[in-house]
Amino acid sequence: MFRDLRNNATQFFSIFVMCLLSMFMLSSFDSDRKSILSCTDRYYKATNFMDMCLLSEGFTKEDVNDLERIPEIKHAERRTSIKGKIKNIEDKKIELNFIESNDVCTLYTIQGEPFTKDQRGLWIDWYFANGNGISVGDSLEIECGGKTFTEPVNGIVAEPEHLHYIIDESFADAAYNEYCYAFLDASEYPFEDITFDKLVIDLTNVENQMYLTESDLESISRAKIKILESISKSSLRIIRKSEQQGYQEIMTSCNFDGILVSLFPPLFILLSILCTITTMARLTARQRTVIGTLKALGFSKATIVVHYTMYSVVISTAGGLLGILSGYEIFGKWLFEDYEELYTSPIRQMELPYTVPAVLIGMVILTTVFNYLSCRKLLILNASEILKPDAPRVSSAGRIERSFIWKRLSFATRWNLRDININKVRSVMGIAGVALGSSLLMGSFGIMECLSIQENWIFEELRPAEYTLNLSGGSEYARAYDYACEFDGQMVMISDVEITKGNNSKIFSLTVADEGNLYRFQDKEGNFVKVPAYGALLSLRAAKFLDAKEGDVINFRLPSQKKAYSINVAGLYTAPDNQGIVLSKNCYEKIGGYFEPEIIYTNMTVPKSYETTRSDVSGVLPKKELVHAYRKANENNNDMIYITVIIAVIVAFVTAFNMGILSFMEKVRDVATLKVLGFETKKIRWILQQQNLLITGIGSLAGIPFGRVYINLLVDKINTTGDLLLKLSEKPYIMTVLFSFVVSVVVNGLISTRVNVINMVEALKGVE
Amino acid sequence: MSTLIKFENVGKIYTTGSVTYEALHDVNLTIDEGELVVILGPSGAGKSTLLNLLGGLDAATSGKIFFSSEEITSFNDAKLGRFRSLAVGIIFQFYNLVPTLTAYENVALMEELGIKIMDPLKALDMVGLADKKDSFPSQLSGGQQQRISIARALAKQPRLLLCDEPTGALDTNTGREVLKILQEQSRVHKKTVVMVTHNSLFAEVADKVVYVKNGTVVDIEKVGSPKDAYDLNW
Repeated sequence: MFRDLRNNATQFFSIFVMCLLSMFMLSSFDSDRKSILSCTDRYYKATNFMDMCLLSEGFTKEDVNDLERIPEIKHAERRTSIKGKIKNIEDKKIELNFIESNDVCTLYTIQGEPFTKDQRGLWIDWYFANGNGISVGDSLEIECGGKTFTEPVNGIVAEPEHLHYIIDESFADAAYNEYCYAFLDASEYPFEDITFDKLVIDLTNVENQMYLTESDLESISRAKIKILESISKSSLRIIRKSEQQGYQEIMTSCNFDGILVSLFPPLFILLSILCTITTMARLTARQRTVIGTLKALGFSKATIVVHYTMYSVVISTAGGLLGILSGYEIFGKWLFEDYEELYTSPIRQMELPYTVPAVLIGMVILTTVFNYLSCRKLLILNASEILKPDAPRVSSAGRIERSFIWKRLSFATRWNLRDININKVRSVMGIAGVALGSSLLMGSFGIMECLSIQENWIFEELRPAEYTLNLSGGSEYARAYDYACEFDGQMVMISDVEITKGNNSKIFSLTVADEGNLYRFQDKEGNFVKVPAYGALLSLRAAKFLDAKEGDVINFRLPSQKKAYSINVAGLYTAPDNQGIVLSKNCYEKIGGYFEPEIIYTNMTVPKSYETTRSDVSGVLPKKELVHAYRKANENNNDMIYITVIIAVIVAFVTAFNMGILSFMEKVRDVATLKVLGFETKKIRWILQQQNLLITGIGSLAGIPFGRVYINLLVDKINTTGDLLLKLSEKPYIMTVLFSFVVSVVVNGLISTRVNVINMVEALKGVE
Repeated sequence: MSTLIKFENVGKIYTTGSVTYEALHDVNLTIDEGELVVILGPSGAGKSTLLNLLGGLDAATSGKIFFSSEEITSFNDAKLGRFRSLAVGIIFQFYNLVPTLTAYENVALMEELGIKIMDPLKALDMVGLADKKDSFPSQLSGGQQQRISIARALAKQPRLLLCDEPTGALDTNTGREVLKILQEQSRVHKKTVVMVTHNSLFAEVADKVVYVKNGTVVDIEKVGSPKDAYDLNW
């Protein structure tokens, strides 16, 4: 066995590498994704994460009582928050959350004592505490709304609503060391009258797990209807668990990983299986005499089958196990570090999903079955029949030989066409290998381009403004207008809106845009769409959810009004974020809305100092900061794509090399004959290269459409809240074909160097 | 007759890992133009090695081999390839036809080397297989394949025909026919034919018999009146 392993080292090494890489991909991607889901799931369960929350201008104790009388509602808690500065820690920003009790979205205590009602003091977020050296017992001097007070730190905690959060618009991305959230008892509220503007709700029949079941979703919908019947507040907004910001962030991230896991590793695994099956079938066929001899000597079929199937079992298991371990330990853990950086969950334990070893076992079983069938094909014959060489096959190239073209073809072309025809299985496997490899490359290059043009799409085409000026909530229109005039900017208002069509209803985003060219919209084809004077633009994802199309009428309810409006869908647009409807300022005002712009887009430079010197400015973000934040948010996704591309190239190389070696070994006698007859090495290598180029050409062309299907799937499912612009240039196509050919030509070049050193005497010895 | 081939103290050592094997040593031999030489010897004596060195398929470890006046042991790979394509026709025990080419194409293959060859159909006719020109090797019997192999070797009209157990895989009648063709090449067309065999009967058709044993030439015998191939029986 070991001698055979040594003699066929290249083929066995290929099987080993393919199994290693495919399991590496699966293990790293899947362990990262499932660990994130599992940690978040455990976190939500441990903290009784809310099933929904209500927002309004104020909730009374009676409102809570009314709600708790609804059978679907188990418990409701009032909350409110204000923002301030920590005077003794560099004036860093703090969000103070005042709570009456803590049975929903409970504080996860990491250090200190658990939250106790009526106790004075703060429970502060553990990221900020760790980053700023704050311990239990320390005191923080807080300035808030003109008041300064000091609070002791009772505990260091994590809270599930703050799984991923950005304190205000002055930050483009999460920077947990720079700002802090804290919890206090409601009695600590520093001003006269406390107004609770938020209710977190725990439903009776909804569990706290990450994934919501159908019955959970039904319970949430039922509860929502009953809440609307029970509470009559004009500004009431209901946010379901699935619409909570942190939940959406993590689901989007996991969806991306999930799509990669479901699309790429299966391809790698398929290639590994193909590689293993082909290699073992060829090796078994080459061992015909040995198998015949063993059978003639009296070895049982079972012994022979076990011997020949053990090669692939041992090698693919060893490669697969190493792939699982290295994938988990190296790349999986590295990817998981991003979870630790982006999300504040204190539960962070990597785990290897059981599906990963299960896939390896399945892969080994499948290849073993195929190997068994290869052996069985020989072993059903008598020993004497096995010992006879395989019957030669007629090697015509088929109908093409009867055409006039045939005689015009060169010797090399005719030789290659017949060789392809006579070795159909080998050729088809070669084409399949190249097709799989190129579909992998196409998928990888395509999605890489999608991600890279996305940045350009957002920051150059849709929002080309050099500066984004965020105004504090409650700013007057007149003030915003002054800023817009001062900086020649475009005013935009973005808020939540509940859109309904038929039985479909969901909270989306309402964008109201003033005249200007710095906040723009495009249709699916990338053409700019003008915001209509009357009527709404509806985002494609919202249209899909609502089952709405251009010309339909949709209903929506403005955040501050109970009255529902009907409006015509004047057009559809594709959006990287803010799925929902877009209205012009005039249209919005005509239907009774009050235009309160919170963002001003401008190409003029806005001083960063406005953030601290102007109370009505909450943030000044230059484009480069937004781009930086965008890149950071996509770092994890890009890493995954880059590693996929690298592995795709390696896999394509190994597959091509293995297939090439197998093919060469079968042609070695013909090659030796040509060499003996006096053919120059260069000429023989060119003959071999021609066949290789033909197979690569067919394979890569066949693989591109599959790669394109992959990209469509990825783009459609990769992001639950935004669209990826699917406007591929010719680059991924060219890159795929180029890479396929470069890999193929290099591999064939390497293999055909064997022509130089071929031992003509050995190669021509006997038939066997 | 002039000397076509000359071996001077030729030796060949094979090395596999740490194991070395001396296949030939101190071989001295001359073969004249137009001779039919049979190299005889038991298995492992070094006959095939001798033939391979002669055809430029393998390189000698020591000594010199001359073809005509040229020392082929000094040729590089490319020059050896040219030598094989122009001067030598090789006929193997297992025919070594290209399975993806028809009988005609196997013979015409030599045109691909850019050398002038006789009409492939004429070469096939010489071995009595013109009617099988469109058949693939897998559609022919062993004897027919060997004759195609001879036609391929003859088509380029080489000065030297090397035959390694040319009848080894054939039945007696077919083997006799093949032997007759080779004998004619020597007698009629004045080609030098060197044939390796372990069948001592073939010595009777040769002009010269070279006996090889334990890696060296132990005897060279000139045959006064060689038999006709058809008179042999084995």
